[in-house]
Amino acid sequence: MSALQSERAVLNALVHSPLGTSEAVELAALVRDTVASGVEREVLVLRLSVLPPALRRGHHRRLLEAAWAPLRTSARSRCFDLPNGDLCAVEAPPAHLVAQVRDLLLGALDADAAPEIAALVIRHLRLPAEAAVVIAAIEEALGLAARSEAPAPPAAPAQGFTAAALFSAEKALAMADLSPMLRAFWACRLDPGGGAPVPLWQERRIDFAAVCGAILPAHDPASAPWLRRQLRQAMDRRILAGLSRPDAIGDLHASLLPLGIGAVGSTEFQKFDALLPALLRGRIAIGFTAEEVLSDPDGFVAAREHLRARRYRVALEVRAAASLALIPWEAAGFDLVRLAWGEGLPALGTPEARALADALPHAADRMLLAEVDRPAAIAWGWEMGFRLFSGRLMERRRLAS
Amino acid sequence: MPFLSAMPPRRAATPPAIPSLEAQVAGLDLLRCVSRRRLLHLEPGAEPCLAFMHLQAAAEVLRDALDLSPGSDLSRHLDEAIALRLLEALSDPATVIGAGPLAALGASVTATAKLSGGSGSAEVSAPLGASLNAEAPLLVELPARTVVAGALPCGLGATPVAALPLASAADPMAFAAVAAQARLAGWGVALCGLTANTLGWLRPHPIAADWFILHWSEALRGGAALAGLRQLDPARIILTGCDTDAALDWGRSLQIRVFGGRWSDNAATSLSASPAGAIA
Repeated sequence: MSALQSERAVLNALVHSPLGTSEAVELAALVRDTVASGVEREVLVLRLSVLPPALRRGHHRRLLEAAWAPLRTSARSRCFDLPNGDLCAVEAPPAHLVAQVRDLLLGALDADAAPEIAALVIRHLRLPAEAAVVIAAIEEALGLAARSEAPAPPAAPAQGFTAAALFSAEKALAMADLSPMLRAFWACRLDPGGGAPVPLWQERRIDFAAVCGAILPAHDPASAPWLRRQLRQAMDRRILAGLSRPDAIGDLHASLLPLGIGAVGSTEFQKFDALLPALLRGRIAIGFTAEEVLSDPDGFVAAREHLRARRYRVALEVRAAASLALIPWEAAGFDLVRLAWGEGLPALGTPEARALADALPHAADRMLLAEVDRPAAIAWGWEMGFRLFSGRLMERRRLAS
Repeated sequence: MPFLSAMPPRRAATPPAIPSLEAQVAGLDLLRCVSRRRLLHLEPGAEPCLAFMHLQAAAEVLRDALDLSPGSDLSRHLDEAIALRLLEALSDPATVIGAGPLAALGASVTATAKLSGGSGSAEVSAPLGASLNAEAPLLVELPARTVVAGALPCGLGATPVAALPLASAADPMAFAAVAAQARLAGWGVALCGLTANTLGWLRPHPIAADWFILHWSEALRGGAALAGLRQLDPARIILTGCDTDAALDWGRSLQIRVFGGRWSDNAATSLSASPAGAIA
């Protein structure tokens, strides 16, 4: 399956709303084709969805519709109605009609909207050079775009992390129940052409930065990695204590729990292990990051053996593709690999991507592509052999379906 | 505040915070916190010579005072603070005093080391100064993510080597970037922390290090460790912990050339006095 086809299949698998969906998918395919073939096209996007409400109604709306009309009827251009009401037209250069309509639209908005609004609403783009912008517009129209409310980078904490700050944070944690702050993300099976995502098991993760923001507002934990590691262990123990409460352990599904190595030997883990229902044994995976494994390799081996003897699965969590070249998952005794999706992963077709595909388990149930927030991640994942996905995108689709 | 719980407060398992631990580290005598080991270059048919002076900072004094276990996160945090102090002292041209290439690490050294221009009358109280006087490059153990910004002052031997911990290689590309920066600043780069255990399941050969520091143990003779070892170029391995002839023989049989251990520390005492000293 080519990357282009798979991108289309991702959209088909994820989008259930019939209204305007097929046109969006067609447009995405057209954009990809221009990228693949290098054929030039000009695109006019009218983003009615970002227009101030007052301008979206009455004669304003009629003016814009009238200006757009020639693009619907001309044989030279092709018009797409997107599900969120945005309009898109494509014409081969020299795109006189697109240019003409653009000027008409700008004229129609001129009297009522500030120039910066007009620039936001009316976009004249060129393919294949600006394909990414057009694809982003399509994803947004489909409700698939990565949420733009990405957490604003917190103001850099004033102070370096000190041992004294660690001690007081540990005191605060000793009183805390962290289990409400544990987020559950479903790991879903998603096959090319296989329909909607099927939730299989959960990742239970804590937002470390958010907890640090609450208990250490003035300090930057990254400034002292070993203190950060000790704090992380204190959190792990509180999480395990919370999960061991009868109501919490009753709610537990097959899960991946990320822990530090030190937490595995803790009394909290012993208690959790003793209370774990027989049904769940063998269905809980404990995840260690590559950095954690290398911070204490001897401790890791002991923890791994302890976990395997008690029928836990052991997961390797990596962010960088090259980590798997250093830590071969099977030789290091892992049962599955969790790769976090990110911009740093190698592009399909590169030698790095081939090396990564070789280093991954060649078994769909042993590899998870996590932190998936856009369809491109799934298209990439399918090509790399992933069938299990988790992250915000899967949460939204799961809830929507 | 989201932290409400029915759980009874648990006593924190950490020692009470006396002044500030970081301030205590800053007040430690650097000389007493840095171990200096000689790494020897041994090659059949050649005279043994000093390959590196291996500096490792550890806040042992403080660790003992606080009753911390050596591998604990807190004690490793304090070790890192000392290592950074060491790097700072080494990088400061003002600490190189006199005509001879003698590095004095801050005021504590100038006070205790009554050395002048390498007269050879090194006092026991100034072993660091005496060690650094040797004509061997320094191999300095540094925290992960340390960015060595500049060359060491002249007089501290040839190309120094920044020895980085295993965890710094978790992202090999990031390690390569740090290594490239170090080389620009005139340093070589070594990867620490390889053992029979880690060689059994790690593949360190893609790591962009000039040297790989491997700690000797009997288990290295085992199959998995040996297979991992064979992927590395023996000319780039430094075998530490060689306390026995058996360890040395094993290393030599694999064409390893640089060794360290109690054996080399003892042997080198005479060696530093006469670099072509006889070692059988």
